[in-house]
Amino acid sequence: MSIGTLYLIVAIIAVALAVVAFFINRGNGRVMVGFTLMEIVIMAVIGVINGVLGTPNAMLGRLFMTFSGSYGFLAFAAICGGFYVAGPLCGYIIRKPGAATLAETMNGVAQVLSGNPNGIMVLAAGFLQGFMSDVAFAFYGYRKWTLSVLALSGALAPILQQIPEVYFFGVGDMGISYNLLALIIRMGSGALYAIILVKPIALALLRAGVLRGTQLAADERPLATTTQKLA
Amino acid sequence: MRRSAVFQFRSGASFFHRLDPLSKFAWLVGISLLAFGAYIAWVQIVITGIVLFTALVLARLSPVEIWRGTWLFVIACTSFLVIQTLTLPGTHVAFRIAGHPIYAESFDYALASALRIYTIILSSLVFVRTTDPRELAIALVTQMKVPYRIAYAFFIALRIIPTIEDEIKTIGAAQAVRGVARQGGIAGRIREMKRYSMPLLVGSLRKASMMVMSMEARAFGAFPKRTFVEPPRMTASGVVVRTVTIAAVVAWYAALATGLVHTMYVLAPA
Repeated sequence: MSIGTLYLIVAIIAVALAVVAFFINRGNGRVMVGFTLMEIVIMAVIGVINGVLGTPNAMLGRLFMTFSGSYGFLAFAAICGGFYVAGPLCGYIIRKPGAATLAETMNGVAQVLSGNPNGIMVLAAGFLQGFMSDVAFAFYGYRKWTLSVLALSGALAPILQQIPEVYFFGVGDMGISYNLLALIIRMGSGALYAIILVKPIALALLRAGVLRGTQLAADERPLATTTQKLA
Repeated sequence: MRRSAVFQFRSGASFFHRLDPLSKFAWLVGISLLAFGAYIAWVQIVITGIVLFTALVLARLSPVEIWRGTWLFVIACTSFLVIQTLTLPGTHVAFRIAGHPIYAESFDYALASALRIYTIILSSLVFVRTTDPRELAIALVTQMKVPYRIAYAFFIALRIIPTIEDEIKTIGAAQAVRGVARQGGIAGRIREMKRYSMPLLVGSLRKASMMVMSMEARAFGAFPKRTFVEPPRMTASGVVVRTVTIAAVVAWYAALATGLVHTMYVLAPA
């Protein structure tokens, strides 16, 4: 099997997952839901800040890849989860279809404008990783918000995103097992970062009072009231 | 002038300042695609030359501004060049340094990689320096038909970028007066980043939400469409820039696909 066939299979799996997610949500009216201006601004701010902070990380990643020789792409894969956080975080806060995709696309644009060394590729990468993060939430009809769903959202993010990177970084020649291992490490990293960062950040922002009007604030309100009463 | 201060819009009257934002964005995308489509040193030298010419002549950036905006990346790119030249394998020894063979292929590839990174960063600098974020948002609405609420939200977020460094300094000062000491080492830096990122995010979201409230109080978003006093329009120069960029990208990838040009190592002796 060639590398092209491998990534064709990966792309087919990703598209199949997206189609299944679409049919799960088609009947319950959760395919196209409008965003309020505040929700769009939250996505933009989180996406842009994650993007601007991602640019020095990308530079460090490049240096890391250079120092690590042929293992560089694998080593970089381990810290890639940091780039995927904006999608699961916005999906978790906004809880509407497309939130992760929009946030990651804005993240990509911010990275391009702040001089990311990977150039325009990050724009496509941002959209693809956000789209796959959304697919994970869509599987549960945008109703289940446990750590396992967040982990799935982080894990699915690199599935399509790795394809353009393989071409641009020229790692296709490294063989199928190398590429498959890189994808598995990226998925693990995405899941780990999502588990560790998303919920604590979202809840801290909620406590700071800057997420008023979001679905997360509405869902957590009974819990907050009970905690206040107990205190 | 700090790097972050250089990496923001400054008004001007250069050719690139007068160009509409989407033509400049097309140029940025084209440069990125060309830079990533070549692992050959001479091609990257030509692309870097074009971007430098654009920065100096068409965007009228001074060499000092370019240096201040990219010096950190120049160091990083030079280190890539040195490390990759010394470590990558090759077959044709160009010369030796302290007995260590330097291969022509390795140097060619390393130079191409380093220049590619620099070209992309420099093209981003040209775009950011000559494009008013407000005009970019309006162009997204009028030319790309992006819903205006999304374009404006993005514009609000972009306005935050230049203030990030000042925000970090304010947070640091506020924490210092409360007795929080600065930490050294990698672990300390990571802990510091954690301490800084949450107040930064909260502060940015608070500012943005106040802006949203004042916009909604003025009926922003009440109508499905929005008109603009002076929307940016694509001029004849914009058409030329877009056409030349698209033609260059298509021609280069067609040449690669048909085998008219090699993808790497052309400096190596036959």
